[in-house]
Amino acid sequence: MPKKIAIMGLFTEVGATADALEALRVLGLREEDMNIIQGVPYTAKMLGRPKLHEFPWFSILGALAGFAVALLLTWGTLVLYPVRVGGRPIPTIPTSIVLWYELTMLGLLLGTFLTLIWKCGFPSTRPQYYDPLINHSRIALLCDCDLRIETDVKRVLIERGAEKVYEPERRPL
Amino acid sequence: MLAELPRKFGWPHEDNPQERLLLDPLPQEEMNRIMLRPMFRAGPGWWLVVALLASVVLVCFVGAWAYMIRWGMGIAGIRRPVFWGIFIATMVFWIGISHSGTFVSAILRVFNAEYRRPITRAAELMTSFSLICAGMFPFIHLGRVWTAYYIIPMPNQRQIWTNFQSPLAWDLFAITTYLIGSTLYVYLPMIPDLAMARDHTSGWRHTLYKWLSLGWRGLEYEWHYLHKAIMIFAFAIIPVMFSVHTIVSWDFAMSMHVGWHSSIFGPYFVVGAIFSGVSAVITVLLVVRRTMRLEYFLRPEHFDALAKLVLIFSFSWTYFFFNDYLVEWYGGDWVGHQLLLFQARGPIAPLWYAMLLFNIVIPWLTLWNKRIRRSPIALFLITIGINVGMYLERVIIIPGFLQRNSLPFNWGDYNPQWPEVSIALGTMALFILLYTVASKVIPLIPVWEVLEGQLSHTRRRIGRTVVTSVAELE
Repeated sequence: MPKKIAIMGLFTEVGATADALEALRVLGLREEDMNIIQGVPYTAKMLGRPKLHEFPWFSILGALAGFAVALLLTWGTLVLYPVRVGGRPIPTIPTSIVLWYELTMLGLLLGTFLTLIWKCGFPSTRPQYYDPLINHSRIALLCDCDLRIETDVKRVLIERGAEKVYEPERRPL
Repeated sequence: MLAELPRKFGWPHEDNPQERLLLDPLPQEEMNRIMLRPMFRAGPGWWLVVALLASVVLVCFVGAWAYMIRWGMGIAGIRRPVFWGIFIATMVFWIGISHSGTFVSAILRVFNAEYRRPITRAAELMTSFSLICAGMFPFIHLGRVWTAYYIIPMPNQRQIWTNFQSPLAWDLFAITTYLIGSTLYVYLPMIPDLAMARDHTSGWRHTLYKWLSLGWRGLEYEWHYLHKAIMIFAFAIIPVMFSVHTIVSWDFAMSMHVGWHSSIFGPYFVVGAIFSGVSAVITVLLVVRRTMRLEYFLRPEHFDALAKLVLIFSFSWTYFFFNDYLVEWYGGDWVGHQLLLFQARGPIAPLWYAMLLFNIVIPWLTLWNKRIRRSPIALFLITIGINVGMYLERVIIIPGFLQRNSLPFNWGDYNPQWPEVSIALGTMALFILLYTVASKVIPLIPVWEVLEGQLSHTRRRIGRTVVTSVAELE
């Protein structure tokens, strides 16, 4: 299996970055071999990259879990510890709706937050490929490529206007 | 002759792009510097303010509460029939202030109001801090606070079980949901700014930001999931916000007490909360702008827009107030009439007239004027006045209304005692203290959101004029 190498190019323009991505595709790099690190969120459309589409399953699951907890509190516990008042039903719907709603929303919000944490692999303290210059109006194009095409990749990045091209090292953030 | 006409009438009209933050870009590193510089400098003045606030919190809040725990609730002015006093009024006030962040951030985000960008974080922080202040009052009001665990649903020998059908239990869950949701909502958009701060710091600050930024690098998928999460939060937190103050209003409206038992109380409380919350945002932003020298980010356009919102909410609050008042007046119920007379001519009349002055007369007479909306001193005074007025409203509705009820032999007066006033003042100091300390740790301006907004704003010529054009980035 050919050895892989990481190469990082720093750009000042989003247009030049998109051109470089296109040229790297022509060289044979796949979308998953390339990544953009940016301090300003340029959209996938601006960069000419495929947009990620995902249904927020975990948010929905969180909401369902919250609803289940609410159901347990409002009905489950009342059935376990019934307080009989004037012939009224022990578990009542109108007064339970409030807690169902609140805990469902809490579950939804927690589920959404946990999805972000899980999908992004947070918290991460491992050394990573990174360049703090992204906070100085730079866009970093990070690519994994075969050692055989290393020179071509570097040439393409420079030709497309990269201000600096180098082999990054994983470092603590 | 005709060609001269446009010039004569001040055409071609072009607004000054320098006045608008999103049309006045600076390099990213310069913006970061403007935001970080005041965070990393704490002069003697700042330490003095913190020491002063901490002392007030210690003496007025912790000290008075400890004194009350030592001697019991009897030292408070709460007597039959006024069983809810300053404590509950202050709790409702803080929950009202907490609506600032969600309204300014979530609703304006959902509606793509671009002027929100530099002001969201400062507003969201207010939500979390004011909810912390609000959340303490049920425990303070409890008196014997060590028995607070009775409200936790768990099998026990006392055969006591939490009544989940009670508005007070709903309140606990609503405030908890809102506190957790709004704290996460302030944290999420902060992650890229915390990473930016991490890259500009060393020592303990670097370690702190490293942990808080969770290892954020700014990869495409990180931005994607962050945007998605922020949008879900923005949509979900809005109904939660409405529910919180509605449920707070139900603490009163679900009872059969005259003046409280009203179906309009939910929206009346929500509108009042947003009214006081947005006013408080203006007050805080004016202080932040001045003390942290953030004039580049916080411009007259932002205060102008927020002041218009305040005026609209003043109209809305007046509408609900009048609705509530007129129905009671027209209804002809004798006790209801006595309650209205009690407000207009009784011992709480000065509070009632002050409320009308601060919440209606002053905003209506001033905020229609663009120069006033852009004047920091005028806005500061008007918004402080509104919050004084809104605090008085809560005092009138809660201990005020409780003094008159359906059993005239059971009428009574309420005289707040020093521990109550002291604890209420102590939470004011606590809120300011939390905010002052946070301003040195948390980037109060979401720099990446401002940069994103500047990307989408351009100027284009249409006919004789040049107008601002906003692009949909997604």
